[in-house]
Amino acid sequence: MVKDYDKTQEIRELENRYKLFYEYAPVPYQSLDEHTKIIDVNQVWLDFFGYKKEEVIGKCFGEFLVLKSRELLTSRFSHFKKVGVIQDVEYEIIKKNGTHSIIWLDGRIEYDKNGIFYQAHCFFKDITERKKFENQLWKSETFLSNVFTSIQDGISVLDKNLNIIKVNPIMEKWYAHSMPMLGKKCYDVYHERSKPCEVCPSIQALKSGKPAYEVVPKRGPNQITIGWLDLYSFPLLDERGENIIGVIEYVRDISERKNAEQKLKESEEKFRNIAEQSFMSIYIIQDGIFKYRNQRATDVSGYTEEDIKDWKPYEYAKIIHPEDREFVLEQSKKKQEGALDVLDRYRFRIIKKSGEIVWINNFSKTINYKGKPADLVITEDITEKIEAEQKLKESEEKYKYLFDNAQVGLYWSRISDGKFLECNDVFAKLFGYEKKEELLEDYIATEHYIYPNQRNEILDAIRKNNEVRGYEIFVTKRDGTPIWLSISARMFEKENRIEGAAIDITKRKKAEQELLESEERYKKAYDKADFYKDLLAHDVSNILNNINASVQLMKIWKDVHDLSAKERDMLEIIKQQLKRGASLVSNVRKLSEIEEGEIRVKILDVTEVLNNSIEDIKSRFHESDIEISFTSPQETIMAKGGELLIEAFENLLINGVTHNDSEKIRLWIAITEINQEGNNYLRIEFKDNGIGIADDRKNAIFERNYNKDRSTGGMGIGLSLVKNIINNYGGRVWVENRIQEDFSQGSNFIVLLTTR
Amino acid sequence: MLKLYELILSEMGEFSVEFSINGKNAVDIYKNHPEKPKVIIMDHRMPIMNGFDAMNEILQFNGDTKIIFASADSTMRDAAISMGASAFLSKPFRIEELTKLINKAITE
Repeated sequence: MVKDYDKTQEIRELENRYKLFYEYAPVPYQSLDEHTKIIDVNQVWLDFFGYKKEEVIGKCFGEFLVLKSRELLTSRFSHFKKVGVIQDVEYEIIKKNGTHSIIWLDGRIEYDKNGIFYQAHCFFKDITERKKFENQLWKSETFLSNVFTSIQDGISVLDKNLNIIKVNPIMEKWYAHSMPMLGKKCYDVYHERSKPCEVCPSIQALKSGKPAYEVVPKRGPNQITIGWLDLYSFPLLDERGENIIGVIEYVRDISERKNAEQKLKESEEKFRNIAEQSFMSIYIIQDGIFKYRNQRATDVSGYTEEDIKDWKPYEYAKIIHPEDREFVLEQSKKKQEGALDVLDRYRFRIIKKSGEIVWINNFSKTINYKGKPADLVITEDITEKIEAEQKLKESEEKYKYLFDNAQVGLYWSRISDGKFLECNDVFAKLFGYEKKEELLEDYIATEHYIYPNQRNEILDAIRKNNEVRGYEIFVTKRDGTPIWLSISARMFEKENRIEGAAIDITKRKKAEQELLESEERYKKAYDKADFYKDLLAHDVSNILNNINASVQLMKIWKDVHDLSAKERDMLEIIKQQLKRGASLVSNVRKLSEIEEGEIRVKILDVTEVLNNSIEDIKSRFHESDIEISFTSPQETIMAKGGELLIEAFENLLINGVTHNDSEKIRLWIAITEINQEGNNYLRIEFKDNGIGIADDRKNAIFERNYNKDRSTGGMGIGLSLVKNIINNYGGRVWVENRIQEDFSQGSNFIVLLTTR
Repeated sequence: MLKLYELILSEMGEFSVEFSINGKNAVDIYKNHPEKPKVIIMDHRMPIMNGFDAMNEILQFNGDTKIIFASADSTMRDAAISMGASAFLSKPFRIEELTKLINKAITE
């Protein structure tokens, strides 16, 4: 009994313990019948749901579930009854206060000793917070995954041994040629290397535990560099944040930036190269300071970098000419501020370091320099140009004056239609207009050519040599009066323009015509004179020769002493006239030669010529009683003369003989050397005891026309010939009295010949 | 004129004289005459062919021919001599001068 008591007692204690456990178990408990009706619940269950026990016993467990869970309960409970056990079956319950919670339900079926369902014992745990957390975690992971996937920079996660654990799609895209990537070494995948890179920010991050950064090349297949990457490596710590377990590589493609930087660098180099070689001065001015000046700028201004290095803002204003300073400085400031109301181009003067003033042509504009507006100034030294322009202006003014006041007609005309574009008043007056404006308005050259082809001919002539000089055209004036013009013109084909000068040559042309006619008349007269000269020189000469020969024959046939006195006188007259005739013919021929310019000058021995002349005269007048004396300081005396000098001397001697009525004809010839005005001459005097020449005739006897009146008894053309011959040899001849006060005592013909 | 020359030459002795009226005729006579003249007096100015051309042709035919070249133009002297004339006779001439030149030409 004791044992039974003890056993009963033991069972009661066990029941209490279970009761306590049941009531105060840490998890809610419920027992359900085969229809899911609640048989019992523990206190924890009641506290969880917020009901009292009597409010729930006998109710179907589904009444405490949301509709969706309730629908599941039926099917699941059938399955539960079959299998006997369930675990972590999720339901959403509704508490008394209306709040919802998520539970995981565990259960076991209790069977009777016959194996028939007795009741279901169920425990559940509240997983609402866990679900919330899980949900949040899921959301977070999804977010991170999305970020990881969508980020447009490359992300690569490496373990401590530089094995690739994870990459984002960008990395897969960049390194598609190295796929698959996971599990491989980063240096193998990214750089096709067999060992780590010498410079690797990930290795640095692994070693230091701190983020590292490098710019690394972006490699394509076969290690070809196809761009540049910014590589940021961040240490990856374990869950506790204590140990480094790898690195996260954040990779940004900076190829475009690098290219842009490279282009910028190249552009800057180009700018500098161009700027340094430019013949123009180039400045960049920012904040009133020269940020850049090329060498030309230094050369033109004379200020070196050393000179300007300590200049304060806008101190450069001092190199601008005071008269231009305010304007130029204002423009420069505006451009440095990026203002829009500025002028790009203007001229101004600068003062060089040497003090010299230089004219500058300025091109400037606002540029962005290192992120701020600046004034880019390009200047050209135009001092010479300005001076040239000034000279050109002055020249143009001068030419304008000349153009307007020239005494010849000046014009510009259009090639295509001959219209005059500009002219001076003189030109207008040539055509009968008072004012040039009238001509420019009214006169079309092409309509006024008398010979229509002449305009094309002059244009062709200008085109051939680019100009014509003195080209003669025949046109009509405004009123139709013909006028000859001499045109000098140049053509500017591209400008469809001719520049020219015109002179009225109508009078000259008329004179030329008259001269032509006169020449024609003169030629006829000359031909006639030539005919008569020829007649005289040859035919008359032959006639005289024949008479002379005939007279000589007569004398051979009949002794002169057999002739009567009258016959002898007549014969003598015939002989004398024959001599005169022959002399006249000879003189005419000589004179003609001189007049035709056929006389030649040479240095010859004058004494020899005189001796020959004397011999000839003696021979010619052998029957006359003539005495000739000849004195000379030397046997040989040279002077300028020629073949006709003997003719001159003989004519003078013949003159002394023939114009002489003395019984004994006396001739004196004397040579002296004299000097007149620094020149040496031979003075040859031919004196005679002839009839002499009155003073009023002394000059006239040398004139050819003198003997037209024949009143002098006739000296032929002898003395005219003498004068012509001597003058042609550069000498002079004149006559004086042999005895100074008495011309009737004879003449003294004096000849001066130059000695060299 | 030819008559005058004939008279002058007849005074000098027994000469056989041929006359021609122009230069071309003179050349033809010279070339065709079996007995060549001892001397030719060649006038300067003649119709058809002048004295220079005639003298030139005759001398080309026979360079030893004696020719006295006669002209009223004394400036022709040098030209005539350089062309081959034996002597130059300036008109008007004296008969003695002519006979002297003829004698000289014949005797040389």
